[in-house]
Amino acid sequence: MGDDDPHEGQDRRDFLGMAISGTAAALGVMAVYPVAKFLTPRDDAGPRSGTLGKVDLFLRGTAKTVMVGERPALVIRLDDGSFRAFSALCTHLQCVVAYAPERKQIECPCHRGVYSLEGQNVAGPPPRPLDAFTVDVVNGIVMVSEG
Amino acid sequence: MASVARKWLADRTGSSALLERMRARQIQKNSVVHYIGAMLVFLFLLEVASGILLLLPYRPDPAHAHASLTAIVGRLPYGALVRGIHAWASHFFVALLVAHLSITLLLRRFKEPNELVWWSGLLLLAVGIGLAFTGSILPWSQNAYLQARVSSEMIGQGPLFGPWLKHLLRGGEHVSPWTLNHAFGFHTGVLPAATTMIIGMHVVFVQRRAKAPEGPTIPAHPDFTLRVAALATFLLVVIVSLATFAPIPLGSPADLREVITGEVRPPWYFLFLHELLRAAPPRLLGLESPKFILGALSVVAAFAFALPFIDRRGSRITMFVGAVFIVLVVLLTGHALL
Amino acid sequence: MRCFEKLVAALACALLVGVAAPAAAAPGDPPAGTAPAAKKEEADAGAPEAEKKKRPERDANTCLTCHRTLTDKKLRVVAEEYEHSVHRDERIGCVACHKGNPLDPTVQSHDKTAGFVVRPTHQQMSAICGGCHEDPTFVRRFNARLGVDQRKLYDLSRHGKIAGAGDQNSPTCTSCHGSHAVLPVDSPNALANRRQVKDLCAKCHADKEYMKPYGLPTAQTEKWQKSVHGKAFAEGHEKAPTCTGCHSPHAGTLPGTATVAALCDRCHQDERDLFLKSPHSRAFRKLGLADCVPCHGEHDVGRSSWLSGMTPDSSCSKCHAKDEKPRKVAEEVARILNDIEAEEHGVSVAVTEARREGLLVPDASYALDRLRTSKIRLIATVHTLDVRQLTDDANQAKSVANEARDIIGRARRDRQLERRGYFAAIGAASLLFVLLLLKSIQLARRRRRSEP
Repeated sequence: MGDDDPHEGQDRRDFLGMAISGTAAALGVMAVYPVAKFLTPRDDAGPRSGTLGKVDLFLRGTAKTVMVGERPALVIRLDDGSFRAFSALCTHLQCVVAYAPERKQIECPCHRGVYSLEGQNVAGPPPRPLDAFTVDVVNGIVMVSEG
Repeated sequence: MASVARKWLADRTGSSALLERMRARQIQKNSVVHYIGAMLVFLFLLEVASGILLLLPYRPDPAHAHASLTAIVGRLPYGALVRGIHAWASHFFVALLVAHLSITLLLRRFKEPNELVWWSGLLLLAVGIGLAFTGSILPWSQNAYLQARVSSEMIGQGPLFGPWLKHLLRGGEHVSPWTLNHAFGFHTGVLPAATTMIIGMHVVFVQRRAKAPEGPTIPAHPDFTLRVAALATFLLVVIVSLATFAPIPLGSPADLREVITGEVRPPWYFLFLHELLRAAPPRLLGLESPKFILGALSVVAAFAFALPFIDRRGSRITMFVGAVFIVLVVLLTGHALL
Repeated sequence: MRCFEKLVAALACALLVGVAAPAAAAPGDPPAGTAPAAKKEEADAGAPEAEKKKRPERDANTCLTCHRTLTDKKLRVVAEEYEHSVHRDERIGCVACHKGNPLDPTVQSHDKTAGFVVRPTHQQMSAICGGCHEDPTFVRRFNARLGVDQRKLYDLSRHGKIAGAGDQNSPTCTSCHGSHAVLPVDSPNALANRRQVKDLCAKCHADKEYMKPYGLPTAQTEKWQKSVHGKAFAEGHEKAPTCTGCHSPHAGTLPGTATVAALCDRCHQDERDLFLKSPHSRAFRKLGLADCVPCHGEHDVGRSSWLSGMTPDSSCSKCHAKDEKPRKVAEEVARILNDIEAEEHGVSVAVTEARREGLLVPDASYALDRLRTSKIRLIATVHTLDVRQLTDDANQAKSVANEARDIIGRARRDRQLERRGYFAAIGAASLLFVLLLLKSIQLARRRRRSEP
């Protein structure tokens, strides 16, 4: 763009050419930052929605909550090491349910609704079972997804 | 300093020869078709770049697709921007494709020696819309799923290849999780490769024509390239602004068990067909109207392909008929949108 | 061609084999329907002689043979209705209730000396039905889970007592369960099914004229329909109580209980337990007031947010208008509840707005879920009237609300930063655009000048 036919206005033309190159270069650099940030993984965020972390850090007989997309999920690790995951919102009035390890059942603190480890509503006001989520252990990382 | 770098590259890539050829090559002045074509190439490159960026965090199976996109838009830095660019640019791409083809038709540029250009252009329209359509399925939102269903249903009414195409698109008889996998394969593999090849061929065909352009011309380099660069920058500004201030919503995740009430509409580029199918009486000329309409459209498409042979001189009749057709499609789409 | 003929012959053979083979396939399924009947015979054979005698004669269907074909609709419909009843399915015949002589195929089967009764009175009815339904050994043969206390409860109830005294307007067994088309209560077509029972009760209890001699109110169904229970029931909620959810279907009020309030804790356990810890529990008992009813009402149980506080239509002001300390407690409780309600509403609006702006904040919506949970538990804790506990819980809930607001704020700030970067980039791009435009114009001008 700078070495065209040699005509008048050399200074002006060069200036324009330089200005264009300069601005284009600046824009190129400005584009690098978002792309770099986009590609750099962040532990807490990132598209790894539903990532719970290392499976060894998840004790048997305990439960954790994790966001899967827009929905909170209750993930339980049973005594035999297997996983269950359900929507963490009670089907009655959408209170957040919790796992009760002593009684091996899922309980809602609002109206004493009780769900079995299969997510079935077994006692109290909940009208429907909890939606089940899928748990996979991929490369030692526990991942939860819908469906 | 810059010229030293330029010489270093030129000596090794032979770019100076290319630049010389481009300086010699003349392009019609103020040719809208050329500028739109260049914009289409730019948009394609933009889509490929943003698409590659999106490809990395996206998970193409039905259980995770929507969640991964939600995370891209909501949690990944500049994820909303990248996805917004990709979504908005696709709409511009389809719109400009249709414009490019319409102007070519109205100017009757399909006649010799442009036959190959015309055919590769028609193919590009098909793969371009294919890209847009398969891309719209990938978020696997309820809307995407329903649109996929409606659109593939319409396509399935086409003659001869209709049901086969429907099967191919759906990955089976019904819209299912396989549909997503097929859409992903097409959108990220088959179609981009095909589009790249056909664009290459299209540009080469344009270049290699024996006839020189008529009327006033400008050199391909630096005049044309400069203007293309300016236009591309402008288009980029528009798309990035839209992506930031008018984001296209993701919608809720697809629920295949939900009972569908109310009308489901296909993406805007299929709306004219949808309107036609809705307004038509149950039977036309003894055939079920969907089959008739799709059949008629296929005949029109066949005509379009055959135009270089049918209308060798580029008569005005083609222009009028083409104009009527284009206006009808635009009116139907507008009516459906409002 | 010889090849071709061979091919045709081979195809013809293949076709023949293909058609003949399936035709020679295994015979069809054995005839169905023989098994269940055999089982019933077996069951009967197992019963001891004494039981066999007690069981009403299986009629030889002489009643039905006539009644099915009668032209008088009133007489025919009883046979038609009986065909769809559970009694017919279990082969309990007409004679079981109507007695008479079933073996006589003429109208002499209506034999009064054999005990025939056309339409038993209300007094007679519970004895007739109870004859089978009170006997556990008999009933269990047909339905092991069916209770046998219905008659006992009915006789204790007001319905039963006045029916026994001769009042034909009081309901008896058939008034609710039907006389011939008796269906199990679980069946959706049964009159006494949970979904239908309110219409059954309302038929008498909502009729002013009918209830006048008894001096009973008639607005219950209407009140209930407006209540939270009625609304939940209308939405199809499986557990929402209808009339029989609190009033025993056979006894009305259960023996030993003074009011229906004893039944509230069948579902509202937590609230009841918490209430028993409150000063109200003792006070109500001393004053002879039922537990839940003075504040919540009975048929017209509504949303409880209006109950607390010292406004004219609050529950507290009904008793505590002049008392110093209770007034303060009432106002404090009302303030806490309104606060929490406002917080929840505020956060909910903030999350919706953020989503509309394109900010996806799933963690904030989870915080909102937790806030809602805290609010619902707080409402239950109100029953203790323990202001200190309530304030603690409310403060915890508020911190969750602040958490949600922080998340949304952070998302907004991140976006602002992005926007700033965007504006810088767009400024540069626009500048580039202008420069390129200028350069094109310059080039064009130069070309024009150089061309002659």
